[in-house]
This record gives sequence, C-alpha cells and structure tokens, in this order.
Amino acid sequence: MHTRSIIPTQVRLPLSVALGVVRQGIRIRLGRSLVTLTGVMLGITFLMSTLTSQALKGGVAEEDRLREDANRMYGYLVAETGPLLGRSLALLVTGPLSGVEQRLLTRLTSEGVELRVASDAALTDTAAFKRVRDARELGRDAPAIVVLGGKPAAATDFSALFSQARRPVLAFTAGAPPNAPGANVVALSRPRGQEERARLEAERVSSRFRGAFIVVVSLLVTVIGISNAMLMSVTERFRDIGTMKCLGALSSFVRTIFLLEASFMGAVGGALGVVLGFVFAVASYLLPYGTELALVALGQHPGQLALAAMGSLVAGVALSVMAALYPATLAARMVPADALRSNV
Amino acid sequence: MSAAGERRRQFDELFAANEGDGRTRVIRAVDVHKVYRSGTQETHALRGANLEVFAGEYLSIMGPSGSGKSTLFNMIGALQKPSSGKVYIDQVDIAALDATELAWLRCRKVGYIFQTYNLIQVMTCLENVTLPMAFAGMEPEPAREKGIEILKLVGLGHRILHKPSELSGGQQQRVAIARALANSPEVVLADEPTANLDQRTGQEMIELLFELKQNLGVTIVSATHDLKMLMKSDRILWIEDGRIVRDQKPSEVDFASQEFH
Repeated sequence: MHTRSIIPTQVRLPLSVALGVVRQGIRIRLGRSLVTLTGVMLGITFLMSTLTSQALKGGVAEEDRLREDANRMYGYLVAETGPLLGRSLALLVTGPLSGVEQRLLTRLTSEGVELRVASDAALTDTAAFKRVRDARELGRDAPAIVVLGGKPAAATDFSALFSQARRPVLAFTAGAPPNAPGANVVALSRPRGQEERARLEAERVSSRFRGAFIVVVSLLVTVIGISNAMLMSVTERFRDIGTMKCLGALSSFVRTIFLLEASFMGAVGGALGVVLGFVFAVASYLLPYGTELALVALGQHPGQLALAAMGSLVAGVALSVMAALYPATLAARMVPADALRSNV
Repeated sequence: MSAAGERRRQFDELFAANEGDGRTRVIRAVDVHKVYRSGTQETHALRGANLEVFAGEYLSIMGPSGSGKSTLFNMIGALQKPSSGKVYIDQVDIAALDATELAWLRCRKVGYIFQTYNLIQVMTCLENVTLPMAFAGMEPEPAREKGIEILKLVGLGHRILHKPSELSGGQQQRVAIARALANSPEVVLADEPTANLDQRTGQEMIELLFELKQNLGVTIVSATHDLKMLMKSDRILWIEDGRIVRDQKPSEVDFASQEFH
C-alpha cells in the first residue's frame, strides 16, 4: 500500500553522451591513451606486414617460377640450336601467350634474337616481332620454329617453312608434339621432378605455419597489453565510475564507455598499423628484389592485399574490444558505495 | 499469527501512528538490519534502525565511526539494500527494486554531496552539473540552461566552464551541491560536506545549504561532526551500535558537553 508498483526504467543514454565522456577521457589521459594506441598499432603493424609479405612473397615466388621456367625453356632451345645471338626464330602462334611464353620471348628479345611471326598472328605486342607475309620468309635462315599458344599447331606443312635448315628444330611449349616427320621435335616445357615439387610444397607449408604461429603470439601479446592498460584505466577511474553510478548511471553505460574507448583506440591504432605494416613489408621487398620485381609482385594480388588491409583493421578493433571486455565488466559490476570509500 | 504477519502489523501501526500529522515523509526506514558476511565472520552494521525524514527538513546524523552511520546513509541513498526491514524512499521500497530501478531512483530522487566532492575531473563545472540530467534523459539544451541556472544559484555563475582542478575546495563543493540539485531530488544527502574545508569556507557551505533549504524547500540529510552544522539543523539523530538512540532538536542539546570535544 505504500509501495508504488511501477518504476519507469532508467533511460538508456544516447550514445552521444557516452561518446562525449570517452572523448574527454581520451583527451585528458592522452599519455596512456597513446600507450594503448601504440600497443594496438604495433600488433596490427605486425599482422599487416606479415599478410602483405605473404602476398608479396606469393607474387615474387610466382614471378620467380615463371622466369625460371622461361630460362629452362631457353636452355632446352639453345641446346638444340646452338647460340642464337643475332639469328632469327620463326614463331607459330596458336593461341594467347601464357606468362611463361611471354617471359621466354622477353628473354629471347633481350638476347638479340629476331622473332618472326606471320602477318596474321594475333599478337598485341607487335613491336617485338617482325611480321612477314610469305611463309617461306618466316622460316628463312631460322634454326628453329617455335610453336606457342598451347594449342596444337594447325596442319601445317612444316617442311615448307624450312627452306635451308638441314635438320630443322621444331620446338613447342605445350600440348601434344606437332606432327612433323623429319624435324627434330623438342618439348620446351618439361615437368619438374617429383622431389623438387615436394620440397617446394613442404617449404611453403612450413613457412605458412611459422608465420601463423608468430602472428597469433604477437596478437595475444597485444591483447594482454591493451587489457593491462585498460585495467589501469579502470582502476584510475574507480571513483569517477562510482560517482557516476551514484548519479544514476547504469552498468551498461559504464561498460559502453570502456568498450567505446577500446574500439576507438582499435580503429585508430589499427588504421595506423595497416599503413605502417604495408610500408614496412613493401620496403623489405624493395631492398632485396629491386623495384621492378616488387612492383610486379604487388600487382599480382591486389585483392589479397585489400583483404589483408580490411582484415587487419577489423582485427584491430576486435582485439581491442576483446581486450577491454574484462576491464569493462569489472567497472560495470562495481558497487557504487564501494567507489565512495576508495579515497584516491 | 505468524511472526512475519506480526511484524507486518507492527509496521502498519507504526505508519498509521505517523501519518496523522499531515507531514510528508521523504524517507522512512523501519527496523532496518544490515549484516556483512566475510567468510564465517558476521558483522552487524545495523540492528533495527528506525528513521523518518520529513520533506523540507534539515536533518543531521551523528555517530562514531563503526556505529553504522555510513551503512544507514547508503541505505537511504539507495546505494545498498537492507538485509531485513524496509527502507522507503519517496514511498518506494528499495528492497523490491532491481539495479536499473535503483539507478533510476538515485538519479531523480536523491542528490549526493560527498566529503571529497567527487567531481569528474575531466569535465567542466557545467558538464558535471548536467551529467545527472543526461542520465535522467534530459535534452542537452534545456539541461545546459538549467545547469547554468543552478550554478548561478550556488554562486558560481562566473565559473561554469572551468575544470574542477582550477577551483578552490569551497568552489568545488559548491559545484557538487549544484550537481546534487540537478534533477530536483526529494532529498539531498551530504556526507561530512565540510570535513575537507577550512572553518570559514565550511561556514559558507553550511549557510548555502541552509539557504537552499529555506528558499527552495530542499530536504537535507547530513552526516557530520561539525558543531555549526549541527546547530543549524532541525533535528539531530544519534546512531550507536546500529540503532538510532536519540532524536533531539538542537535547542535540547548541550553543545558544551564532553561528547562534542
């Protein structure tokens, strides 16, 4: 009879009030905020540089493999034809050139070989080639014909192409060998040995595992660091928290303050970390590999790099919030009467 | 009749007896017990305290440390619930409330003034005063206007944008008083409000509280050993060993006696 049955529920504060408290908190305690922020930044820098390195490493390895394969092809070709310097090669292009073939042609051009193609060959890069109309012209003085493009050569009378060579070399890069009786048919693309492939695969797996382990450990260290700083921040604000609770703040408001602060630190630290990590990783590839190869590697997986940046930023916020969960809960659980007794 | 029923009847009688005088009771504590347990140790902070606070009065509570004074204070401030007995704040039984409702009650019905001011150091005076209003869901603009109004009232109209650290102790306590008044509470609780102030500033603070009581009809409950404050109050309660043992008007108290020195 004396008790009012219904008490309206305490209003949930607009986020703007919490944001205001957070903003002031960060500004006033700038020193420690910077420490927390640096913690997040370092962790995310490491994560981002690792992810970027992985993408670059993949790119570099791919480019390396292409060039190596092209060199091997070149080697097989020269073994049959003898030195090619200043001589001509006839090219039969059956389809779009693969990466290896492009690099093989680059290598041949750099060795001073004249590359002849039929005038109707579908090649975009015309500068490197000498287009000829007459099929006889194509093969004149050429020690070899190279079939490129991966598709079987159309039924061509190869012997017509070789006007002078006594035992002509017919090289092909992929697919079934062209049918050319009397010609020395050479496959340029030969599979790597089983052992070599196994070695490469094992190396890749072990390096990925090692990388993942180091990243996880470093992120854990970051979380613990942030958590520690947040705990200090809570202890320091014990009296403020208690006072606010006396004034009518809900536990959820107190928790929101700390989680907001953490996510803000996570976002800023994460963004800085992404930029720094990217710069470090690219720099570490620029130095040993040179600008050209590093840039090629960069361009190979733009999607993977964007994903790494997004992921690192999200990780920064998520880790920071995760680290703040325990301190925030501690602060929210605090009994207001206790706060008044802690004379700081 | 069961023991509980018997007790209930006693309570009802007690209320009936008190309700005839036409005075509004802001706070009513009936047979309040509080037991703290730590391990097997039980500490009885309150052993059946009864108390009433009337609207518009200036009540002082005296008691040595360990008498249960702080605990009683926490009860009537809706900071703690009793182990048994009832505490009504503006006719609401706090034992029946959950944490959210207690927060609501603290926000609108009770204003706190602390011995150590407890201002939020990173906020300006005005922000400190408007914080409880924000907790009560007030829009920023009217809250700002009301905050300035209250700060003028306590004599700090010229300092609204200063940080607490830029103010003297007396000024900080004035801000704290303004903050306590923010949501026009039913009762203002002051825990040793003059203990950290020098004689003259303490005197000013007592006068300010007295003025607020006289002019605005603010109900004030203070825990204090300050003689000047005791002399200004309407009633003085003595708490000893978890119970209220005396209830006197200042005119009935011999302030020259040994217990005050």
